[in-house]
Amino acid sequence: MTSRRARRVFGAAAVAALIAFAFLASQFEVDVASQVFLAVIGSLALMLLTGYAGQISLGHAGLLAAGAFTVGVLYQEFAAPIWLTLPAAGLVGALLGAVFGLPSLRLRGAYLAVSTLALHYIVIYLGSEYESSVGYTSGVVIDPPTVFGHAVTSGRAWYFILLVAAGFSLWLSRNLLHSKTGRAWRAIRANETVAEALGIDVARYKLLAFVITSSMTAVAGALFGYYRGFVGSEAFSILLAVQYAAMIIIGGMGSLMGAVLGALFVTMLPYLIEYLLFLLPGTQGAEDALFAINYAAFGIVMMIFLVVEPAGLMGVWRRVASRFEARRLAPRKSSSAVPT
Amino acid sequence: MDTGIAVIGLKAFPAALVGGLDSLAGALLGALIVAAAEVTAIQLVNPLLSDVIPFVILILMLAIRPWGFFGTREELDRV
Repeated sequence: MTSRRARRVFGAAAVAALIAFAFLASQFEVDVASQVFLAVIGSLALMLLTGYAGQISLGHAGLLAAGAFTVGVLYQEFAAPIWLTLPAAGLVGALLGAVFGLPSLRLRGAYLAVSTLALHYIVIYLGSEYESSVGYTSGVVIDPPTVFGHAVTSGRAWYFILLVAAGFSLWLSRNLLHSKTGRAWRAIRANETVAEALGIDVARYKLLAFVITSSMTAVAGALFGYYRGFVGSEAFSILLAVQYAAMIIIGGMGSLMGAVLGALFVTMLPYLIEYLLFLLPGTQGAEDALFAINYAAFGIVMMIFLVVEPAGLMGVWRRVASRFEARRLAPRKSSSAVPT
Repeated sequence: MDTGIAVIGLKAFPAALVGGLDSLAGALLGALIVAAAEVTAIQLVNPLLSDVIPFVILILMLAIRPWGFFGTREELDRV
């Protein structure tokens, strides 16, 4: 009971802190936080697919691109409003998920990962083809969306929209995992043959995992397009797909909180490195090398996590928490121990 | 040198999988098929296709014969 109350108090405090943050932080910090929220939606989706249903995907940057380009095309061609483009992006994502989930019925592991790479390259190709056909070389411009008669332009408004979107995704993922679908996914990840023997329609739930998570990712991509104000195929490189994979690995497989922590960590890492780098003496001329340093640091951090802490940030969190728990419980256990 | 060079490494996957993961001769054949198709597509259709074609061929191969030309069927379950 107390732990439930503590959790509720903690949740309320977190929400209050997140709201207060929008009014206290600088423009730049609000922008970084918005990026984190966008990453949270994507990494939650990937966590559901990989961390719970056990299906590997490297096509996530492609799905983000698909969502963003759906918005871009609909906006450019038909000037469609946001309440039309977001569902359309979700629908496109679901369709792509259904098609590229099909290989998962026959393949697993490395084979599946490489076949999802096909999704990535095909979507990027279609996107850049559209770009060159309409004559934009760098990308398609999307004007700020109008919500309830107001154009959403300020960073703070975006912060709250993306915060709500990320919170909704978290709530949705949690409920999904506590449903029949979520249990079926976990069974499939644990052992496909056993899941089949238990009467779970493995093919159906695998496809469902791809459809749901792809749809979520495409909506995240659509929001990304609106947030950035333009869509370019350059923004969705294969590195982005690797970054999302890194989020769920660094956060900790099989944990929704891990997906959130991983998204926070991976999004903040470049800014953190920049900050730390300029604290060192004699690095004032190193701006040119920053990009390369970021790449290298990302790889090194990833390797360190894989070798030292495969359970990710959630693993660290659990270990610290259990140490405190043990200290709290230890005296009580000795005083209330009744010899049997 | 730039980071675009990474895509060459990624195209090794289609080549290896089309030929069959556990066959050296297959890798040779797979690489030839993938490269020939890619160059043909660049010449005749659209240069933007260069990153797409290897993976399209891979998807086709995985749909028809997932273990590749010279691979063994059992290898699929071992990965």
